[in-house]
Amino acid sequence: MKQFACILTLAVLAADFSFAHPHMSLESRLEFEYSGAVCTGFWADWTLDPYFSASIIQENDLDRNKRFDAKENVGVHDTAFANLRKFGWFTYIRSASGRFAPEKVERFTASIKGDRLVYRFFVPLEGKGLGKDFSVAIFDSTYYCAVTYSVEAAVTRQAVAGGPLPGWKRETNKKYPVYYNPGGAATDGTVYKEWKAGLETAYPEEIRVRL
Amino acid sequence: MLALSILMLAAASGRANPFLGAADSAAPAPVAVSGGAAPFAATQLSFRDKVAAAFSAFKEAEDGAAGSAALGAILAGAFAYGLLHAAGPGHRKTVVFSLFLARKARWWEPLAAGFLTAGIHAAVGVSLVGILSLLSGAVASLAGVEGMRIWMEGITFAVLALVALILAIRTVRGLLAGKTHSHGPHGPHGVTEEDGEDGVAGGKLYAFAAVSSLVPCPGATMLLLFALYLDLPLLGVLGVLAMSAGMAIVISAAGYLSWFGRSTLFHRLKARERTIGLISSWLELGSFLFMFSLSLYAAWPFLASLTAL
Repeated sequence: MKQFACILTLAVLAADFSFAHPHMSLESRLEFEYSGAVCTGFWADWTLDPYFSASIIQENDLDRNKRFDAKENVGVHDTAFANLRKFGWFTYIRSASGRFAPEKVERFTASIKGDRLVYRFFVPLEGKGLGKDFSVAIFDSTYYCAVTYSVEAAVTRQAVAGGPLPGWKRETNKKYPVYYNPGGAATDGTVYKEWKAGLETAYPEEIRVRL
Repeated sequence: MLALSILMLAAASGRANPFLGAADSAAPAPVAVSGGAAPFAATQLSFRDKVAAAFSAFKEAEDGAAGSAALGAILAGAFAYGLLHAAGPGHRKTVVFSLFLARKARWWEPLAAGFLTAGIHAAVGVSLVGILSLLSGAVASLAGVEGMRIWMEGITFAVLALVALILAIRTVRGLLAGKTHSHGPHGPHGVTEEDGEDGVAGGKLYAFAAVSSLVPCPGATMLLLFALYLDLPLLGVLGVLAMSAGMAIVISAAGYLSWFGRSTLFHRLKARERTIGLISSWLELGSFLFMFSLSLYAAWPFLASLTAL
Protein backbone atom coordinates (compact mmCIF):
# COMPACT_ATOMS: atom_id res chain seq x y z
CA MET A 1 0.00 0.00 0.00
CA LYS A 2 2.76 2.38 0.89
CA GLN A 3 4.27 1.85 -2.53
CA PHE A 4 1.25 3.38 -4.17
CA ALA A 5 1.32 6.25 -1.76
CA CYS A 6 4.93 6.76 -2.70
CA ILE A 7 4.23 6.64 -6.43
CA LEU A 8 1.62 9.34 -5.98
CA THR A 9 4.09 11.28 -3.92
CA LEU A 10 6.66 11.01 -6.67
CA ALA A 11 4.23 12.40 -9.19
CA VAL A 12 3.64 15.39 -6.96
CA LEU A 13 7.36 15.67 -6.31
CA ALA A 14 8.11 15.76 -10.01
CA ALA A 15 5.60 18.53 -10.49
CA ASP A 16 6.98 20.37 -7.49
CA PHE A 17 10.53 19.99 -8.70
CA SER A 18 9.79 21.38 -12.13
CA PHE A 19 9.49 25.04 -11.18
CA ALA A 20 11.90 27.51 -9.74
CA HIS A 21 10.72 30.73 -8.16
CA PRO A 22 12.05 34.25 -7.77
CA HIS A 23 13.67 35.50 -4.59
CA MET A 24 14.62 38.92 -5.91
CA SER A 25 13.68 41.30 -8.68
CA LEU A 26 15.06 44.02 -10.89
CA GLU A 27 13.50 46.69 -13.08
CA SER A 28 15.25 47.23 -16.38
CA ARG A 29 15.47 50.20 -18.71
CA LEU A 30 17.49 50.23 -21.96
CA GLU A 31 19.03 53.16 -23.85
CA PHE A 32 19.92 52.34 -27.46
CA GLU A 33 22.66 54.39 -29.10
CA TYR A 34 22.70 54.80 -32.87
CA SER A 35 25.24 56.22 -35.26
CA GLY A 36 23.32 56.69 -38.45
CA ALA A 37 21.57 53.42 -39.24
CA VAL A 38 23.87 51.35 -37.01
CA CYS A 39 23.23 50.55 -33.36
CA THR A 40 26.57 50.90 -31.59
CA GLY A 41 25.27 49.46 -28.35
CA PHE A 42 22.90 50.05 -25.50
CA TRP A 43 23.01 51.10 -21.88
CA ALA A 44 21.22 48.92 -19.37
CA ASP A 45 19.91 50.49 -16.16
CA TRP A 46 18.85 47.97 -13.58
CA THR A 47 17.11 49.03 -10.38
CA LEU A 48 17.41 46.23 -7.84
CA ASP A 49 14.80 45.33 -5.20
CA PRO A 50 15.09 46.82 -1.67
CA TYR A 51 16.38 43.62 -0.01
CA PHE A 52 19.21 42.93 -2.43
CA SER A 53 19.93 46.66 -2.55
CA ALA A 54 20.23 46.87 1.24
CA SER A 55 22.65 43.94 1.35
CA ILE A 56 24.95 45.23 -1.36
CA ILE A 57 24.86 48.81 -0.08
CA GLN A 58 25.56 47.64 3.47
CA GLU A 59 28.53 45.57 2.35
CA ASN A 60 30.07 48.01 -0.10
CA ASP A 61 29.22 51.59 0.86
CA LEU A 62 31.86 51.45 3.54
CA ASP A 63 31.90 55.17 4.35
CA ARG A 64 28.07 55.23 4.46
CA ASN A 65 27.86 58.33 2.28
CA LYS A 66 25.20 56.83 -0.03
CA ARG A 67 27.65 56.87 -2.92
CA PHE A 68 30.04 54.34 -4.32
CA ASP A 69 33.48 55.78 -4.93
CA ALA A 70 35.79 54.16 -7.46
CA LYS A 71 37.09 51.56 -5.03
CA GLU A 72 33.62 50.73 -3.72
CA ASN A 73 32.35 50.50 -7.29
CA VAL A 74 34.98 47.87 -8.01
CA GLY A 75 33.83 46.03 -4.90
CA VAL A 76 30.21 45.96 -6.09
CA HIS A 77 31.30 44.90 -9.55
CA ASP A 78 33.50 42.08 -8.34
CA THR A 79 31.19 40.65 -5.69
CA ALA A 80 27.68 41.35 -6.97
CA PHE A 81 27.85 41.78 -10.74
CA ALA A 82 30.83 39.98 -12.30
CA ASN A 83 29.24 36.57 -11.70
CA LEU A 84 26.49 37.50 -14.18
CA ARG A 85 28.98 36.87 -16.96
CA LYS A 86 28.16 33.18 -16.45
CA PHE A 87 24.54 34.05 -17.27
CA GLY A 88 25.24 36.30 -20.24
CA TRP A 89 24.29 39.27 -18.05
CA PHE A 90 20.67 38.05 -18.49
CA THR A 91 20.83 39.62 -21.95
CA TYR A 92 19.41 37.91 -25.03
CA ILE A 93 19.87 39.73 -28.36
CA ARG A 94 17.93 38.57 -31.41
CA SER A 95 18.14 39.62 -35.03
CA ALA A 96 17.30 38.03 -38.36
CA SER A 97 20.53 36.06 -38.20
CA GLY A 98 19.67 34.51 -34.87
CA ARG A 99 20.02 34.98 -31.15
CA PHE A 100 23.22 35.68 -29.26
CA ALA A 101 24.46 36.81 -25.87
CA PRO A 102 26.87 39.73 -25.51
CA GLU A 103 30.54 38.82 -25.33
CA LYS A 104 31.27 41.58 -22.88
CA VAL A 105 29.80 44.56 -21.10
CA GLU A 106 31.60 47.83 -20.30
CA ARG A 107 31.62 50.90 -18.09
CA PHE A 108 29.81 49.35 -15.14
CA THR A 109 28.76 51.76 -12.41
CA ALA A 110 26.73 51.18 -9.28
CA SER A 111 24.80 54.00 -7.65
CA ILE A 112 22.20 54.49 -4.93
CA LYS A 113 18.85 56.15 -5.64
CA GLY A 114 16.75 56.44 -2.51
CA ASP A 115 17.15 53.05 -0.90
CA ARG A 116 17.69 51.26 -4.20
CA LEU A 117 20.83 49.99 -5.84
CA VAL A 118 21.11 50.86 -9.51
CA TYR A 119 23.45 49.17 -11.97
CA ARG A 120 24.35 50.87 -15.23
CA PHE A 121 26.49 49.26 -17.90
CA PHE A 122 27.03 49.40 -21.63
CA VAL A 123 26.58 46.49 -24.03
CA PRO A 124 28.70 47.19 -27.15
CA LEU A 125 27.20 46.06 -30.45
CA GLU A 126 29.58 47.59 -32.98
CA GLY A 127 30.40 45.19 -35.76
CA LYS A 128 27.31 43.10 -35.12
CA GLY A 129 25.40 44.61 -38.03
CA LEU A 130 22.45 45.57 -35.88
CA GLY A 131 20.24 48.58 -36.37
CA LYS A 132 17.36 48.02 -38.72
CA ASP A 133 15.32 45.52 -36.73
CA PHE A 134 16.43 43.61 -33.67
CA SER A 135 15.28 42.72 -30.18
CA VAL A 136 16.76 42.58 -26.70
CA ALA A 137 15.35 40.59 -23.79
CA ILE A 138 16.52 40.82 -20.20
CA PHE A 139 15.71 37.48 -18.67
CA ASP A 140 17.08 35.27 -15.90
CA SER A 141 16.83 31.66 -17.00
CA THR A 142 17.39 30.48 -13.41
CA TYR A 143 14.24 32.37 -12.37
CA TYR A 144 16.00 33.46 -9.20
CA CYS A 145 15.57 37.06 -10.27
CA ALA A 146 12.27 38.29 -11.68
CA VAL A 147 12.81 40.93 -14.37
CA THR A 148 10.37 43.68 -15.17
CA TYR A 149 10.71 46.71 -17.43
CA SER A 150 10.15 50.27 -16.32
CA VAL A 151 7.18 52.16 -17.74
CA GLU A 152 9.52 53.84 -20.18
CA ALA A 153 11.26 50.54 -20.95
CA ALA A 154 13.59 51.98 -23.59
CA VAL A 155 14.84 55.15 -25.23
CA THR A 156 16.77 55.58 -28.46
CA ARG A 157 19.46 58.16 -29.18
CA GLN A 158 21.01 59.24 -32.46
CA ALA A 159 24.62 60.47 -32.53
CA VAL A 160 24.51 61.70 -36.13
CA ALA A 161 22.80 65.03 -36.51
CA GLY A 162 19.75 64.62 -38.69
CA GLY A 163 20.05 60.83 -38.61
CA PRO A 164 16.97 58.64 -38.26
CA LEU A 165 15.68 58.00 -34.77
CA PRO A 166 14.54 54.41 -34.37
CA GLY A 167 11.35 53.45 -32.58
CA TRP A 168 10.82 50.65 -30.13
CA LYS A 169 8.07 48.53 -28.70
CA ARG A 170 7.75 45.99 -25.94
CA GLU A 171 6.41 42.58 -26.93
CA THR A 172 6.39 38.90 -26.17
CA ASN A 173 7.31 37.06 -29.31
CA LYS A 174 6.00 33.50 -29.34
CA LYS A 175 7.87 32.70 -32.56
CA TYR A 176 11.30 33.03 -31.03
CA PRO A 177 11.59 31.30 -27.66
CA VAL A 178 14.69 31.30 -25.52
CA TYR A 179 16.12 27.82 -24.97
CA TYR A 180 18.30 27.27 -21.96
CA ASN A 181 19.89 24.44 -20.07
CA PRO A 182 18.64 24.37 -16.46
CA GLY A 183 21.37 21.93 -15.45
CA GLY A 184 24.23 23.94 -16.83
CA ALA A 185 23.10 27.49 -16.25
CA ALA A 186 25.72 28.27 -13.63
CA THR A 187 28.63 27.56 -15.90
CA ASP A 188 27.09 27.30 -19.34
CA GLY A 189 26.45 30.51 -21.24
CA THR A 190 25.57 28.75 -24.47
CA VAL A 191 22.83 30.38 -26.50
CA TYR A 192 20.83 27.58 -28.08
CA LYS A 193 19.33 28.31 -31.48
CA GLU A 194 17.02 25.33 -31.47
CA TRP A 195 15.49 23.03 -28.92
CA LYS A 196 17.42 19.97 -27.85
CA ALA A 197 16.67 17.30 -25.28
CA GLY A 198 17.06 18.64 -21.76
CA LEU A 199 16.52 22.27 -22.67
CA GLU A 200 13.77 24.42 -21.24
CA THR A 201 11.76 26.95 -23.23
CA ALA A 202 10.82 30.49 -22.21
CA TYR A 203 9.17 33.44 -23.91
CA PRO A 204 10.59 36.52 -22.24
CA GLU A 205 9.35 40.00 -23.03
CA GLU A 206 11.55 41.72 -25.60
CA ILE A 207 12.32 45.29 -26.50
CA ARG A 208 12.12 45.42 -30.28
CA VAL A 209 13.96 48.30 -31.96
CA ARG A 210 13.27 49.25 -35.59
CA LEU A 211 14.37 51.93 -37.96
CA MET B 1 11.07 5.44 -0.02
CA LEU B 2 8.67 7.83 1.55
CA ALA B 3 11.46 9.21 3.65
CA LEU B 4 13.53 9.70 0.54
CA SER B 5 10.69 11.52 -1.14
CA ILE B 6 10.47 13.79 1.84
CA LEU B 7 14.15 14.62 1.88
CA MET B 8 14.12 15.20 -1.82
CA LEU B 9 11.50 17.86 -1.61
CA ALA B 10 13.50 19.69 0.97
CA ALA B 11 16.33 20.14 -1.42
CA ALA B 12 14.21 21.38 -4.30
CA SER B 13 13.85 24.77 -2.78
CA GLY B 14 15.49 27.06 -5.23
CA ARG B 15 18.53 28.40 -6.97
CA ALA B 16 21.60 30.29 -5.97
CA ASN B 17 21.69 34.03 -6.39
CA PRO B 18 23.27 34.55 -9.85
CA PHE B 19 24.58 38.01 -8.90
CA LEU B 20 26.80 36.87 -6.08
CA GLY B 21 30.38 35.70 -6.31
CA ALA B 22 33.27 36.71 -8.50
CA ALA B 23 33.34 35.73 -12.17
CA ASP B 24 36.25 33.40 -11.51
CA SER B 25 35.14 32.39 -8.02
CA ALA B 26 35.89 28.91 -6.74
CA ALA B 27 32.54 28.46 -5.02
CA PRO B 28 30.57 25.30 -5.77
CA ALA B 29 27.85 25.45 -8.38
CA PRO B 30 24.26 25.33 -7.15
CA VAL B 31 21.99 22.37 -7.72
CA ALA B 32 20.07 22.24 -11.00
CA VAL B 33 16.45 23.30 -10.93
CA SER B 34 14.06 23.36 -13.87
CA GLY B 35 12.64 26.64 -14.92
CA GLY B 36 9.22 28.08 -15.41
CA ALA B 37 7.48 31.02 -13.89
CA ALA B 38 6.06 30.25 -10.47
CA PRO B 39 2.45 31.18 -9.83
CA PHE B 40 1.79 34.50 -8.08
CA ALA B 41 5.43 35.55 -8.66
CA ALA B 42 4.62 39.18 -9.37
CA THR B 43 2.10 39.44 -6.52
CA GLN B 44 4.41 37.92 -3.93
CA LEU B 45 7.26 40.20 -4.96
CA SER B 46 4.87 43.12 -4.66
CA PHE B 47 4.03 42.12 -1.06
CA ARG B 48 7.73 41.69 -0.39
CA ASP B 49 8.44 45.23 -1.52
CA LYS B 50 5.58 46.51 0.66
CA VAL B 51 7.11 44.79 3.67
CA ALA B 52 10.42 46.50 2.96
CA ALA B 53 8.65 49.86 2.75
CA ALA B 54 6.90 49.13 6.05
CA PHE B 55 10.22 48.32 7.73
CA SER B 56 11.56 51.68 6.59
CA ALA B 57 8.36 53.41 7.76
CA PHE B 58 8.72 51.79 11.19
CA LYS B 59 12.30 52.98 11.42
CA GLU B 60 11.26 56.52 10.59
CA ALA B 61 8.01 56.55 12.58
CA GLU B 62 7.79 59.63 14.77
CA ASP B 63 4.96 58.49 17.03
CA GLY B 64 3.40 55.34 18.41
CA ALA B 65 0.47 55.35 16.00
CA ALA B 66 2.71 55.46 12.96
CA GLY B 67 4.91 52.77 14.45
CA SER B 68 1.93 50.52 15.17
CA ALA B 69 0.61 51.00 11.65
CA ALA B 70 4.00 50.09 10.23
CA LEU B 71 4.24 47.06 12.50
CA GLY B 72 0.83 45.89 11.35
CA ALA B 73 1.85 46.39 7.73
CA ILE B 74 5.03 44.36 8.28
CA LEU B 75 3.24 41.44 9.91
CA ALA B 76 0.32 41.41 7.47
CA GLY B 77 2.59 41.85 4.44
CA ALA B 78 5.03 39.18 5.59
CA PHE B 79 2.14 36.80 6.25
CA ALA B 80 0.73 37.39 2.75
CA TYR B 81 4.19 37.05 1.23
CA GLY B 82 4.68 33.72 3.03
CA LEU B 83 1.27 32.53 1.89
CA LEU B 84 2.00 33.26 -1.77
CA HIS B 85 5.62 32.14 -1.55
CA ALA B 86 4.65 28.73 -0.20
CA ALA B 87 1.99 28.42 -2.89
CA GLY B 88 4.91 28.19 -5.31
CA PRO B 89 7.20 25.20 -5.62
CA GLY B 90 9.03 23.52 -2.78
CA HIS B 91 8.60 24.56 0.83
CA ARG B 92 7.69 21.09 2.13
CA LYS B 93 4.14 20.91 0.80
CA THR B 94 4.88 17.52 -0.67
CA VAL B 95 6.59 16.47 2.53
CA VAL B 96 3.44 17.01 4.51
CA PHE B 97 1.30 15.68 1.68
CA SER B 98 3.34 12.47 1.78
CA LEU B 99 3.22 12.30 5.55
CA PHE B 100 -0.55 12.12 5.67
CA LEU B 101 -0.87 9.95 2.61
CA ALA B 102 1.16 7.24 4.29
CA ARG B 103 -0.45 7.13 7.68
CA LYS B 104 -3.65 7.75 9.52
CA ALA B 105 -3.68 10.86 11.59
CA ARG B 106 -5.84 12.88 13.88
CA TRP B 107 -7.61 15.94 12.50
CA TRP B 108 -5.18 18.44 13.95
CA GLU B 109 -1.99 16.75 12.77
CA PRO B 110 -1.79 18.30 9.29
CA LEU B 111 -2.05 21.72 10.91
CA ALA B 112 0.62 20.82 13.45
CA ALA B 113 2.91 19.39 10.77
CA GLY B 114 2.53 22.51 8.64
CA PHE B 115 3.50 24.77 11.51
CA LEU B 116 6.29 22.42 12.61
CA THR B 117 8.00 22.43 9.21
CA ALA B 118 7.46 26.15 8.66
CA GLY B 119 8.70 26.85 12.17
CA ILE B 120 11.89 24.86 11.67
CA HIS B 121 12.34 26.50 8.27
CA ALA B 122 12.19 29.92 9.97
CA ALA B 123 14.37 28.89 12.91
CA VAL B 124 17.09 27.58 10.63
CA GLY B 125 17.09 30.79 8.61
CA VAL B 126 17.26 32.95 11.75
CA SER B 127 19.96 30.71 13.25
CA LEU B 128 22.07 30.73 10.10
CA VAL B 129 22.00 34.52 9.87
CA GLY B 130 22.61 34.79 13.62
CA ILE B 131 25.56 32.40 13.69
CA LEU B 132 27.23 33.90 10.63
CA SER B 133 26.74 37.37 12.12
CA LEU B 134 28.27 36.32 15.43
CA LEU B 135 31.20 34.69 13.68
CA SER B 136 31.90 37.73 11.53
CA GLY B 137 31.24 40.25 14.27
CA ALA B 138 28.88 42.15 11.98
CA VAL B 139 25.65 41.51 10.13
CA ALA B 140 26.13 38.42 7.96
CA SER B 141 26.70 39.08 4.30
CA LEU B 142 24.12 37.94 1.77
CA ALA B 143 26.88 36.12 -0.08
CA GLY B 144 27.87 34.26 3.09
CA VAL B 145 24.30 33.10 3.74
CA GLU B 146 23.82 32.09 0.10
CA GLY B 147 27.13 30.24 0.10
CA MET B 148 26.07 28.14 3.07
CA ARG B 149 22.74 27.39 1.45
CA ILE B 150 24.43 26.13 -1.72
CA TRP B 151 26.50 23.69 0.32
CA MET B 152 23.46 22.51 2.29
CA GLU B 153 21.43 21.93 -0.88
CA GLY B 154 24.22 20.27 -2.81
CA ILE B 155 25.09 17.86 -0.01
CA THR B 156 21.41 17.03 0.53
CA PHE B 157 20.92 16.09 -3.12
CA ALA B 158 24.13 14.08 -3.20
CA VAL B 159 23.05 12.10 -0.13
CA LEU B 160 19.63 11.57 -1.66
CA ALA B 161 21.16 10.15 -4.81
CA LEU B 162 23.30 7.77 -2.79
CA VAL B 163 20.43 6.60 -0.60
CA ALA B 164 18.18 6.11 -3.64
CA LEU B 165 20.87 3.99 -5.30
CA ILE B 166 21.28 1.82 -2.20
CA LEU B 167 17.53 1.33 -1.92
CA ALA B 168 17.28 0.45 -5.61
CA ILE B 169 20.00 -2.18 -5.20
CA ARG B 170 18.21 -3.61 -2.18
CA THR B 171 14.97 -3.79 -4.15
CA VAL B 172 16.70 -5.58 -7.03
CA ARG B 173 18.17 -8.08 -4.59
CA GLY B 174 14.73 -8.64 -3.12
CA LEU B 175 13.22 -9.20 -6.54
CA LEU B 176 15.97 -11.66 -7.46
CA ALA B 177 15.30 -13.51 -4.22
CA GLY B 178 11.64 -13.82 -5.20
CA LYS B 179 10.30 -11.42 -2.60
CA THR B 180 7.48 -9.12 -3.61
CA HIS B 181 5.50 -6.62 -1.67
CA SER B 182 2.27 -7.70 -0.17
CA HIS B 183 0.97 -5.43 2.44
CA GLY B 184 -2.15 -7.24 3.42
CA PRO B 185 -2.66 -8.16 7.03
CA HIS B 186 -0.83 -11.46 6.52
CA GLY B 187 1.65 -10.68 3.76
CA PRO B 188 5.18 -12.06 3.62
CA HIS B 189 6.59 -9.08 5.44
CA GLY B 190 3.83 -9.10 7.97
CA VAL B 191 3.43 -5.41 7.26
CA THR B 192 0.07 -3.74 7.30
CA GLU B 193 -1.00 -0.32 6.25
CA GLU B 194 -1.57 0.46 9.89
CA ASP B 195 2.16 0.16 10.56
CA GLY B 196 2.36 3.72 9.53
CA GLU B 197 0.22 4.67 12.45
CA ASP B 198 2.38 3.45 15.27
CA GLY B 199 4.46 5.85 17.22
CA VAL B 200 7.80 4.74 15.85
CA ALA B 201 6.84 4.97 12.17
CA GLY B 202 4.95 8.17 12.75
CA GLY B 203 7.85 9.61 14.69
CA LYS B 204 10.25 8.75 11.89
CA LEU B 205 8.05 10.45 9.33
CA TYR B 206 7.83 13.55 11.48
CA ALA B 207 11.58 13.43 11.92
CA PHE B 208 12.09 13.32 8.17
CA ALA B 209 9.66 16.20 7.76
CA ALA B 210 11.67 18.13 10.31
CA VAL B 211 15.00 17.29 8.67
CA SER B 212 13.60 18.29 5.30
CA SER B 213 13.01 21.78 6.69
CA LEU B 214 16.65 22.36 7.52
CA VAL B 215 17.48 24.15 4.25
CA PRO B 216 16.69 27.83 4.85
CA CYS B 217 14.50 29.85 2.50
CA PRO B 218 16.35 32.73 0.81
CA GLY B 219 13.19 34.83 1.05
CA ALA B 220 13.19 34.59 4.84
CA THR B 221 16.92 35.17 5.27
CA MET B 222 16.84 38.24 3.00
CA LEU B 223 13.94 39.66 5.00
CA LEU B 224 15.86 39.16 8.24
CA LEU B 225 19.05 40.65 6.82
CA PHE B 226 17.08 43.68 5.68
CA ALA B 227 15.76 44.21 9.21
CA LEU B 228 19.26 43.79 10.65
CA TYR B 229 20.63 46.45 8.33
CA LEU B 230 17.98 48.79 9.76
CA ASP B 231 19.01 47.71 13.26
CA LEU B 232 15.59 46.16 13.87
CA PRO B 233 16.51 42.56 14.79
CA LEU B 234 13.41 41.75 16.84
CA LEU B 235 11.13 43.10 14.16
CA GLY B 236 13.05 41.03 11.62
CA VAL B 237 12.44 37.86 13.60
CA LEU B 238 8.75 38.78 13.94
CA GLY B 239 8.59 39.33 10.20
CA VAL B 240 10.13 35.92 9.53
CA LEU B 241 7.66 34.33 11.95
CA ALA B 242 4.72 36.05 10.24
CA MET B 243 6.04 34.90 6.87
CA SER B 244 6.38 31.38 8.23
CA ALA B 245 2.83 31.44 9.57
CA GLY B 246 1.62 32.23 6.07
CA MET B 247 3.69 29.40 4.68
CA ALA B 248 2.40 27.06 7.38
CA ILE B 249 -1.19 27.63 6.26
CA VAL B 250 -0.39 26.51 2.72
CA ILE B 251 1.73 23.56 3.88
CA SER B 252 -1.04 22.46 6.23
CA ALA B 253 -3.53 22.69 3.38
CA ALA B 254 -1.39 20.20 1.44
CA GLY B 255 -1.55 17.92 4.48
CA TYR B 256 -5.32 18.18 4.70
CA LEU B 257 -5.58 17.43 1.00
CA SER B 258 -4.00 14.02 1.48
CA TRP B 259 -5.65 13.55 4.89
CA PHE B 260 -9.11 13.86 3.36
CA GLY B 261 -8.30 11.86 0.26
CA ARG B 262 -6.38 9.08 1.93
CA SER B 263 -9.22 7.01 3.39
CA THR B 264 -11.02 6.53 0.10
CA LEU B 265 -7.86 5.92 -1.90
CA PHE B 266 -6.42 3.39 0.49
CA HIS B 267 -9.67 1.60 0.96
CA ARG B 268 -10.04 1.07 -2.79
CA LEU B 269 -6.46 -0.08 -3.27
CA LYS B 270 -6.53 -2.36 -0.27
CA ALA B 271 -9.01 -4.75 -1.85
CA ARG B 272 -6.58 -5.38 -4.73
CA GLU B 273 -3.44 -5.33 -2.70
CA ARG B 274 -2.45 -9.00 -2.93
CA THR B 275 -2.76 -9.08 -6.70
CA ILE B 276 -0.53 -6.12 -7.21
CA GLY B 277 2.35 -7.13 -4.97
CA LEU B 278 4.74 -7.86 -7.83
CA ILE B 279 3.76 -4.73 -9.70
CA SER B 280 4.35 -2.75 -6.52
CA SER B 281 7.88 -4.06 -6.26
CA TRP B 282 8.71 -3.09 -9.83
CA LEU B 283 7.10 0.28 -9.38
CA GLU B 284 9.14 0.76 -6.26
CA LEU B 285 12.33 -0.06 -8.14
CA GLY B 286 11.32 2.35 -10.88
CA SER B 287 10.67 5.01 -8.28
CA PHE B 288 14.07 4.55 -6.66
CA LEU B 289 15.79 4.75 -10.03
CA PHE B 290 13.74 7.83 -10.89
CA MET B 291 14.73 9.50 -7.64
CA PHE B 292 18.33 8.49 -8.11
CA SER B 293 18.35 10.01 -11.60
CA LEU B 294 16.61 13.18 -10.50
CA SER B 295 18.84 13.62 -7.45
CA LEU B 296 21.98 12.99 -9.44
CA TYR B 297 20.81 15.39 -12.15
CA ALA B 298 20.23 18.07 -9.53
CA ALA B 299 23.42 17.41 -7.60
CA TRP B 300 25.65 17.04 -10.65
CA PRO B 301 26.57 20.72 -11.19
CA PHE B 302 27.40 20.96 -7.48
CA LEU B 303 29.43 17.74 -7.43
CA ALA B 304 31.24 18.52 -10.68
CA SER B 305 32.20 21.94 -9.40
CA LEU B 306 33.78 20.46 -6.26
CA THR B 307 36.58 18.95 -8.32
CA ALA B 308 37.54 22.43 -9.48
CA LEU B 309 37.76 23.92 -5.98
